[in-house]
Amino acid sequence: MPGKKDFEHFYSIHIDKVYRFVFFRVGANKELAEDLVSEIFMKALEHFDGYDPKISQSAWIMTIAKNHIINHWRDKKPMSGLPDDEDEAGDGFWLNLALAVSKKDAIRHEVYELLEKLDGNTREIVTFHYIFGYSYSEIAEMKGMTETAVKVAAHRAIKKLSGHI
Amino acid sequence: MDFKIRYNLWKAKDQLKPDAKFKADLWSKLDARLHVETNTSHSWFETRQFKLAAALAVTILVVGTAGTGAYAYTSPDVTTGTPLYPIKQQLEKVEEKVQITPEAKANFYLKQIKRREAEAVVIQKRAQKTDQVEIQIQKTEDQIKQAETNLEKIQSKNPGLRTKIKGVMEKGIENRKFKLQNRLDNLQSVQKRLEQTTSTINLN
Repeated sequence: MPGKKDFEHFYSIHIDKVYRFVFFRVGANKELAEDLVSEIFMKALEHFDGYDPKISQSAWIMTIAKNHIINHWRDKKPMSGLPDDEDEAGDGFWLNLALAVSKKDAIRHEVYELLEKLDGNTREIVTFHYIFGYSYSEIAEMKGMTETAVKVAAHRAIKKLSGHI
Repeated sequence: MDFKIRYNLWKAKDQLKPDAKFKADLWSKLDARLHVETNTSHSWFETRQFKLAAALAVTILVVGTAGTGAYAYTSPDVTTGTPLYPIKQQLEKVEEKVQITPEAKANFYLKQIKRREAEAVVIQKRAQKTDQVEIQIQKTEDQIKQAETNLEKIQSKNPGLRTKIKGVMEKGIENRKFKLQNRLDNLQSVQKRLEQTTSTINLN
């Protein structure tokens, strides 16, 4: 069983990021996002002893979150236009869905409209960094890119978005 | 312009934060789970530290017992009346039973006599100290007499100071007497043991 302090530290660092990630993946459904995040952290607690420090904590909890969401959709048999398989849909689908739902909120409307002007990969980088709160190095590890490449892509994206304002 | 887009992104991020209540509630659940699992499936006696401590304790016990036995068996300083002497006797009994042939038994008895002789030498050395202690006692008695004479001299000059000095001296003398008496008693018991050992050797 992990030390309380270690897990508390882990929780405080990752709860916001995981919540935002899940929130986007469930079509901005707050109640569902909260349920899934609770289950994800319970799973993380169960397996924290077996966590391999060679991989980053972000990548580890993100893998748990992705797998948990896959299982959730598989069990639920989605009623509407949601895909059967999360992996087939890819990050782009979920991002677009969340953006579409969130557009109802006037405050976020402008940001999401701008994000739609970016290509899929760049939009993911900007969303993960600026909205989910992941560092460049964490994103680089998750996407299999170099940190510099991620930084350059994010910088160019901001420049591009600035040009649209 | 960069600033505006960065600010808007930050604002959007800030709005997507989970509720503080949700975070606190979830942590309470996780904390409760941590407590339950720490107190049940991973009891303290199942921990690695406990296993290591237990192994260490067993090792110390085994090494300590074997070491004490070896010391008791081989050292001539372990003589009658010492705490380890019964262990020595038991080990010798075992050794005696292990000797099967008459030659082996004879060798064992020879070895045993040598051991008793070595013990006798040690006891004799201890006994020599008795005489030294008696001399010391004699010296102390002389010192006491001298001190009493000095006190009588002081009495005529300053009676108050005499009482004070007398109290301190008497206390010191009593302590010294007590310690020397103890030492003498010990040495006398050693002398008795020496006599016993000598008679044992003669019997053998």
